[in-house]
Amino acid sequence: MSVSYIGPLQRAIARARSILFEPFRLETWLVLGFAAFLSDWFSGGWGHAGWERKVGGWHHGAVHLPGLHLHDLLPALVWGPLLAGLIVLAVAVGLVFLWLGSRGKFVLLEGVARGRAAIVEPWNRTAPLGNSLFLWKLGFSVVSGLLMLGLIFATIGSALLGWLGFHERVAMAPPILGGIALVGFVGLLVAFVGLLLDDFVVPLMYRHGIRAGEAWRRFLPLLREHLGQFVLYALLVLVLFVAVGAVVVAVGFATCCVGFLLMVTPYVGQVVLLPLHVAYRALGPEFLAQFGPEFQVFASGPPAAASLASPGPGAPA
Amino acid sequence: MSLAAGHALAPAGSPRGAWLAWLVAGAALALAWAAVAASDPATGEALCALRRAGGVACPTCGVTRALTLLARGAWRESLALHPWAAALALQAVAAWVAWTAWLAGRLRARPDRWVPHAVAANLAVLAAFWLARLAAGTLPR
Repeated sequence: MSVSYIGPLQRAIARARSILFEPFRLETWLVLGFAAFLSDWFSGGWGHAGWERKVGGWHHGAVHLPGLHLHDLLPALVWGPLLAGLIVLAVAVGLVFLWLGSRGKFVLLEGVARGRAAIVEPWNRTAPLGNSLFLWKLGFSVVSGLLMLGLIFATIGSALLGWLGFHERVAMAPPILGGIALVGFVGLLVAFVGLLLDDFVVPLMYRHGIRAGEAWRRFLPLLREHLGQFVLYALLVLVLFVAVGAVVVAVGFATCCVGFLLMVTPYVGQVVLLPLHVAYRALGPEFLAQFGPEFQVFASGPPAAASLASPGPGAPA
Repeated sequence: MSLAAGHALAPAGSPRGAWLAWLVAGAALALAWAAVAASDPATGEALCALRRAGGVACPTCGVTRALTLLARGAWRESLALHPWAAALALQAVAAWVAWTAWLAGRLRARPDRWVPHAVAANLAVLAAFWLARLAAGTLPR
């Protein structure tokens, strides 16, 4: 089977052009920009590093074990609950962001699939799909996060044991290097699964009106059969990100950095870069459509009823 | 490729909402103009990353200062600092006036259909000015 990489890219760009420029309507950009904001901005996991830095900085400055006095403990008594509260708040905000991003994925996909700028109706109609995606992402984040943490701690532990003289330093080098390589490999694997989820599994959920687990069950046989082609797709996406990133940086520099300010401002950035968001949202389904009619997400026709949610326009009537 | 986007993406907002958006846009334009007029054209140096890193002013370097001078009536100095700044201000006002006329039913064609052309034309003009001024050595310092 011959799989094209340029064809889907051309069709995705043509779809973005058709939706956004034929004709150009300001309200289309504002509404679809909000859908892109829901879909992409909340999926970014902003602020995590900031919290970790704050927690780390406080910890090193406050703990002072020898000669404990009340005034030494007081900051801990005050800051301890505050810190715990902040961590709980950060986790809660992270969960809300994950949920909003999961729900938003289907709002943007609906807009791109049907050439339709709407928020409330698709938000409500695709709620079961978004909630299913949220639960799957939550489980995957917890499992992959624990796995990564375990690997990182194991690698650091090996390094510490060697440094403290429990083992020969030369003999410790291979496990440390192996640990770093393993962390890198698992990180790449997690990123690849995330790409497959957003680009192929989410469209399949939308197309058939099914839950995330069921969509994976339909997608995995295809992935096993065409693994190399999906890896090549991931590399294409990586190349596209680098190329687009270079253009974005050039535009930012060419506008006295005003362009940067616009692009990083929530919602405004999604409106300014909307052609990229829409074209990228269309790329995965366009690539997937090559593997058979059951994988075609974009097509005309009225949606049919389904058990979970109304399936996408590519579904058989 | 046709998605019938023209029909599906027709304006769905109420006339009241459209007039509210028009009012907010007008107020934002007036506020921006007031802020530009209140700023000091002598300050605001070295914001340009391109100039800091490469020593060359970017295509939009000097626009804010040129608008400030324009707001104070010094249009010759404004044109000398950045020849396209006054045109940008005029386009913003013209767009708002066209929007007003369309909402009032005095203009049949939607004015926003010209936005992509206007953006492309402005980018081309800015690039042309930048290249010409780079060659002539008249980019702002």
